[in-house]
Amino acid sequence: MNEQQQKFELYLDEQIAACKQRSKLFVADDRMDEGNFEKIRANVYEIFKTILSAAEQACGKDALAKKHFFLQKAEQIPMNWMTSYEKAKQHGDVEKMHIERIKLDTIQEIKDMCIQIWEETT
Amino acid sequence: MTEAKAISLFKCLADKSRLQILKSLAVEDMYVERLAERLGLTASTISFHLKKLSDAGAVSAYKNQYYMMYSLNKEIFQTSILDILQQESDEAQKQAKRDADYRQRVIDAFFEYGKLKSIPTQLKKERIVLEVIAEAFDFDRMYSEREVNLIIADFHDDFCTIRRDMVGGRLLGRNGIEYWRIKND
Repeated sequence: MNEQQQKFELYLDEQIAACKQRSKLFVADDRMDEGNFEKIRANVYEIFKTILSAAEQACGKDALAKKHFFLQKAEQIPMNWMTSYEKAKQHGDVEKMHIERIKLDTIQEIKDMCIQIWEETT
Repeated sequence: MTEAKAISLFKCLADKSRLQILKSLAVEDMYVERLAERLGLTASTISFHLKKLSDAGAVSAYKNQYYMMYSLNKEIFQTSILDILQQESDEAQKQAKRDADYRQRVIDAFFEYGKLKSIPTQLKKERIVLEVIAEAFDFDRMYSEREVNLIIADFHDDFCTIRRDMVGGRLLGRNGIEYWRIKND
């Protein structure tokens, strides 16, 4: 595992732990919906942690190839979320829109971090 | 308020963020960004909660210049919880039907051709059986103990036990000399 991948995996692990912690706090504070939003965020980070492992297997030690593999998946996977968001918007389904927005915002943050880490260390 | 609406409202209120939104709206009407700033939540989270509150009938929206303002539906909160509890339940008829069916099953199991086969050991079943026997007594009439025994003996030989249990269960009243049928609601 190269330096970028280590750093990126650490970032994802930290985010997952932080989301889970916030979720617990929200639930304890009788804010169930916000607790669930944090679980949704944690799930997105977990999905992309799995993709990072897949990138390692698919690209071996080629750091640039790993970055491309990861960013390609980060473009493909949220397409359904975007469709779902647009559909919810058409129907004025604010609840669904909010959930899809959380997923889309989280993946945008992950993509930005991926680019930042690879730029910093190359 | 219907039962379904009450459930939806109670579910909606069981959340601290939504309660905080309602508390803010109780002070004055507000728009999403103002609520977000006041409560330290994102605007989209506030919109999410407002949608739930709106669906539950707790808040309503109106347009004021560029802003969509939200206000508390005060009349819904003026309904007392006791009013909701006392309102006829959608389930009431079903419950009454289930109770009537159970009662009939007990009667069918313990009575044969108008005679009591045995005294039920379960209190709930015995109560039903005693209520059936009590129907053989007229209201507003006094009975001697002998008359009571004869009426009960038409149902079962152990009239002493049944008479005593009917008095204990407040189906029959007793003043030492005479008995009468008690009107139960």
